[in-house]
Amino acid sequence: MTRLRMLPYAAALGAAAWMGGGAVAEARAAPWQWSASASPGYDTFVQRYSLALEDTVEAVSEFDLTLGAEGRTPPDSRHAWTVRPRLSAGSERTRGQLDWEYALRPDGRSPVLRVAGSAQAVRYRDGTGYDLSSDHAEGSLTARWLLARGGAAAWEARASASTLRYADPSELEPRRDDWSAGFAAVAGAEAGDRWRAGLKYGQRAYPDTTEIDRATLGLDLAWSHDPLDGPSWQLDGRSERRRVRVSAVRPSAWSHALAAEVAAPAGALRAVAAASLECWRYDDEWGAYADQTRLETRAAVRAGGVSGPLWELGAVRESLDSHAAGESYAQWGACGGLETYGEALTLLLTLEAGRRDYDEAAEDDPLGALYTDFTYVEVGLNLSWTLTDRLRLDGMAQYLPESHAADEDDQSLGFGSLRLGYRF
Amino acid sequence: MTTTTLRTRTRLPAAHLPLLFVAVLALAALCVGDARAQAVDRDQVADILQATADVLQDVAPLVQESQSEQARRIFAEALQKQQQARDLFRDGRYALAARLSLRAREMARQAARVTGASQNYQERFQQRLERVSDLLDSVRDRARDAGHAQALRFVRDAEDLVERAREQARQTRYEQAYRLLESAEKMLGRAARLLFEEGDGERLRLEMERTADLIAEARERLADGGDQAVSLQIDRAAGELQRAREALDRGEPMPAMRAARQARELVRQALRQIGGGPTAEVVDAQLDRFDAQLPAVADAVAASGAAEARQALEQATDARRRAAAALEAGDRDQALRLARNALDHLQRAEALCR
Repeated sequence: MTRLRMLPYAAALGAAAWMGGGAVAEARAAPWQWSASASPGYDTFVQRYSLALEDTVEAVSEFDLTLGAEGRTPPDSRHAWTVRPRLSAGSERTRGQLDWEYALRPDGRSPVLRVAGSAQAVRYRDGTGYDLSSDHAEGSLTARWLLARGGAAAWEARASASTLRYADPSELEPRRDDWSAGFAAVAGAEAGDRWRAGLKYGQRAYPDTTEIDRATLGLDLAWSHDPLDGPSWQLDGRSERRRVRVSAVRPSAWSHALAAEVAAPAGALRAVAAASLECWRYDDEWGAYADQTRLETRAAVRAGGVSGPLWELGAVRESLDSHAAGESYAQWGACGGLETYGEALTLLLTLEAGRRDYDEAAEDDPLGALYTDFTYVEVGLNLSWTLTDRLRLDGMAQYLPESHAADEDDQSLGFGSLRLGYRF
Repeated sequence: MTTTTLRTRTRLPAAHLPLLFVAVLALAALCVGDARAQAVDRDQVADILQATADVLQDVAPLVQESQSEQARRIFAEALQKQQQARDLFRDGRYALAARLSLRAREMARQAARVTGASQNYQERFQQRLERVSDLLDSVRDRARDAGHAQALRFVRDAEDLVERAREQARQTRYEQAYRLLESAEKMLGRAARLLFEEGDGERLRLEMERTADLIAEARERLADGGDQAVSLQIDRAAGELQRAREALDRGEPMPAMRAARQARELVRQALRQIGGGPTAEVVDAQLDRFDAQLPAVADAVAASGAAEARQALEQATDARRRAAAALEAGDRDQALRLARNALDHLQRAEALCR
């Protein structure tokens, strides 16, 4: 019964907007094109760690069959619609999802108005590997409207709402409702560079634990310059103030994030330098709510890309400066990557290896340091292989082993996913 | 009104933990009681059992507050080992009891470490989830605007990874969840880079129109009689541009961008070989092209009554006026840019009437 009761919450947003969107559609209906697919898939998550000096392996694996369809009107039509229903049944859970989108393109080019909705429901099987999860349903609705977009600058208004309902809410899975609205100045069609400056206000409510309800006010700035030859850069920054209703339960905070990437031709290669800074400042610090600043930097060279495989080789450095005891660290590594986007095969392979050293301040703790230094390897693989016109194989894998000074601190995390898709 | 009605859902029910806590205290008391009446090396082992009991007592509330299943599992194992050590102690097997108790102590410390790390990862996961969700919204929008199939595929992969991360977090596997979010963020970064480097559909069209203008300009400047090789170079550029248009029409932005870049590079080389900047005739040709198209578009705009089309037409005529002024002032580069802008606006106005 609980499951049946919670479904309308998620469906309401999507359905209401679907009906509203239908009213927008003009009388001369654009022809719909439909495709369908069936795809069996297998996911596995593995964590290996030492328990009482013995290797312990925890694994959750899941097999599922997903049936999907996609219907769309021609993408350059004035009123463009896309609908994607999906149903997935597996060894651990059953999922149903409906995504839809409406775009108004008065000139057949970029949309002036875009409205998108999504509704999803998940039901877990008895005795599942996800035994801490509760059946749930969620729905979201977003809208974006571009004003006066013809010149060098345009205005953009955004609004979104979403809801998440659990059949059996808990501390780990509280029900929640979100809404947000924002306004931004963005580069218009005439502008050579892409830029954006926006403000966004949002609220999140947790009906089961209203103490952690919160409001956020954020500023975001972005600028990208790409002359298609010569140096190019991207800058992306955002700051947000988060105010929690009862700050004694969860402290209010400021957060700032800045990402920058500069690339320039260097002979036959392209040199890349990138930095990403993330910073959290809590009004009151306790437990895990500790001020922290994380900085990642990367220097690399790239070759190829536009007309063939892209190679990248470089060095990375990451540091975390945290007020939580023993959490601060510095990390260095070497990284490499290969990307190829062929007619039949898309392959992404990344490899990183390095060393992380934690601050030694916590070594006096009688219970031992929370974290210990380690050398690490990160391997990532993502492939999409078109076997025939109708058959495609998609795979994703990552493996992250850590080697610590004491063997009992060693651990590794792994994830793999393989899916075979058939398009009707 | 403030309410807190949530409960913690775990494999080891929270209600059992106080019992475990009492068991730890009882173990400690028993160990102390037994130790008083025993021989010297028995006393040493009793001390070990007592020290372990103290550690278990310190760690119990930490684990009780934790949401980490792994920590609870390790702590439960530590309690079991300590109980076995106590049984062995009673049977007089002191060496084995000491070894087992030391192992229980190390496991209790491990549980404490896992608890602390889990709490930190839980908060870091929440922080990162929100950042990745914002990024997902932004890149998804751009990929949809561009209709870029590969970028959209990466966005969907990232969505799947976020969903998996949330599932792992529900199982209190916060580190695994955090790593999956990292992968999702990298995937979105890759999608953003593709969109950045290859441009969206509209920008690509604009670039192709500008390349077409450059080709027209190169042909006009070569018209007085030029190098045959340069002429062939311009033809090759025009051929590449045509390939780019066809690829874009087929919805393949990557090959379209490759061909467009090639076309522009070829025509730029040709212009460098021809030398000089745009001539007044080249700008005039653009303005003539505009003037020839204007009456028909103005009629269509008036007939449609579309406000946005009228606005685009006003922008077009304004750019045309500024282009003529720049030409008169002798700034031919600026005049050419404005004349092309005027044509872009005019084409947009025409499209908005449909």
